[in-house]
Amino acid sequence: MLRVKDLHASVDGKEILRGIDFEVKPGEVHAIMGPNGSGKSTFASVLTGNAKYEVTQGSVEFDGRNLLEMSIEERARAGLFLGFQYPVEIPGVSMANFMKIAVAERRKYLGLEPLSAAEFLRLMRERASVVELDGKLMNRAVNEGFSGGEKKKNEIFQMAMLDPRLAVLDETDSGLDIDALRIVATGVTKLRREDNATVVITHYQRLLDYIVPDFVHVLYKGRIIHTGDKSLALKLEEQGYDWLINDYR
Amino acid sequence: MDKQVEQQRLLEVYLSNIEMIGEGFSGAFNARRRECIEDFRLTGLPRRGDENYLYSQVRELFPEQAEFYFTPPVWLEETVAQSGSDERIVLCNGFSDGTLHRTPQGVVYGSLRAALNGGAQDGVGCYGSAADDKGCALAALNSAFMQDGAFVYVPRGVKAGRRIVIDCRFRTREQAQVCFGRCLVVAGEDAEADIVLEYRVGAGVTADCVVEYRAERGARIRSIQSDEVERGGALLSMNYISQCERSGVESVFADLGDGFSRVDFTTDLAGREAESRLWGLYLAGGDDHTDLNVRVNHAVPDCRSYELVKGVVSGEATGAFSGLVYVAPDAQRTEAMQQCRNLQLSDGARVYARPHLEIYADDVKCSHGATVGQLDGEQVYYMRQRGIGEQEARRLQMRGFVNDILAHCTCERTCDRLRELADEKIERL
Repeated sequence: MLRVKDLHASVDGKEILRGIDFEVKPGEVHAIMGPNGSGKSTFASVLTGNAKYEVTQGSVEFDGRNLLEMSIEERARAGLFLGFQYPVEIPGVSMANFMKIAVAERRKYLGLEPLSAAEFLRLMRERASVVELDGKLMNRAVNEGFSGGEKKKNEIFQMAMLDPRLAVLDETDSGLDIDALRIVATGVTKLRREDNATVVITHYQRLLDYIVPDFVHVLYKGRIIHTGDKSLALKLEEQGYDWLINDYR
Repeated sequence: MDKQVEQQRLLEVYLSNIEMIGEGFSGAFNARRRECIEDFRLTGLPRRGDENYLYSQVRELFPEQAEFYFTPPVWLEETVAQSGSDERIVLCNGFSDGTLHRTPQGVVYGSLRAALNGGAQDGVGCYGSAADDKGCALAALNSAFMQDGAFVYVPRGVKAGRRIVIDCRFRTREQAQVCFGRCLVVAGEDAEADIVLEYRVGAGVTADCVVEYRAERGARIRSIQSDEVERGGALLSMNYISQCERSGVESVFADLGDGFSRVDFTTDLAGREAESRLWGLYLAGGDDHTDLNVRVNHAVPDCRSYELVKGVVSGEATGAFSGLVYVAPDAQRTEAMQQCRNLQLSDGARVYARPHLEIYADDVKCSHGATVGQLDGEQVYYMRQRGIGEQEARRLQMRGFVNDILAHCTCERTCDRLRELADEKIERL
């Protein structure tokens, strides 16, 4: 589904990603962990096509297409979803309207008929319940005045609406209390299928109690320096990153 | 002197048509015209560099070849017949069909000419009280030349219920033309008036329009003004709002046209606990020109005023906002808030924002601010990441920006219409 080879990327001439090799197959859940500043969020941004970062080397293939040649919206329509670490507020644009356009674009890409107004409302209600998101928020402006927890739930709600092939969740757990964390993580698990995949970027093992990963990768200084199974996360929680970093050096 | 040529011409036009202009009006009324033309002569058309007209050159809107007509245009009858719907006053180049209506509740609306000349008793006395003697040459010119217009009176305690639409259309065939539009809206004690004022100005027309709003004690006026000026047309719209004790006036203003528009809102808070709220919007692209001036006079204590103005300016267009909140020496416990926020979409676009406070009382809460920014790249990125195309994302963001203002339209139908117009305009930005 996703094949990243020797990916290098920099911002303002400073190299952040220094040769990432990474592969995701349908049905898999990957966790990417690593100390602050190791390039986790940059990796997510580069995948989605954020213009802030310049790809200087390497290739990314997504469902057989060259991802790096696609625009941000093309990547999204093709089923690449990013759960933002800091969801953006869009004053004056209602959630419902925003989602209506986004869903229509995704369906158009998939060659599906547009949804009727009633079908769309039904879908919205159904998917909002996945993350126990208050339906009233749909009439509010995107993320405006949402609490921290609501913003993160809203990311997963949007993921549920758009039904992506590959979801990259960038520190979706940060700033969440225990209940919200459980709701968000359970939501992600509910959306898991054989034909989609999830990449979870996180600092804490806690999230992985709910979203059980098939692989855990450690990113350090722009490279994946270690890959293991879910037990690696537990070990990192106990021992930190030093043992790996020392090995790597 | 060459500099005065436009002004001289206007005076000549007035003098040589004085009989036709004043026909049917009382001697006292026509005497008042003469005072106004004298005011105009003394004040003169705003010159380049005039503090109140820094961004709008209005002299060139009165070219030498411009025509003046002192009788209703031939298309009036047909336009009135087509507009059909009730509680609508149609003004064609400033002229109505001369009728005055009276609802069972006592609301009077229709021709200002008819109202001033014996058709109405209550409310007409307010004519000129808010607009005259304000030192505005363009308003004085209007007072001298006006022959008709729209009149709305809501008597004491009456909630007008339905909105009254004042549909002001200006157009000319080929020749440049100067027209005058005049409206008087009076809400009696504890009355409520809902007004929708629609300006449509065609190419070649300079429309000099004055609207006076008078809110008596405890009255509420809600007004929505939309300006659609065609490219090559010009609207000079002066609104004078005078408010008594405990009255409230809410105005929504939207300039969605493609031409030249200079709009003034002057509010006098003359009675305690009066409240004024204004939401303004201008969208300017191409070589549009839009200039909004808002002045609020807090003359007495315990009044509140609030203004939020938003503008989107692109292409080579000019968008200007000047705001002044004046607080008189004993207007204690005044609360005033004034905000102007602009999006500048291109390097060629010019945005001028001048928020002013002039405070002579010491116990006040006043704030003001102005911003000029660009579209938020983060918002666009976020929307694109959800599959929304870049153009669409930018438009959505603009619509969102604009929505803040239009959301204050209390009339759903007007609101929908304005949204549609704004959407169309955004497509052109």
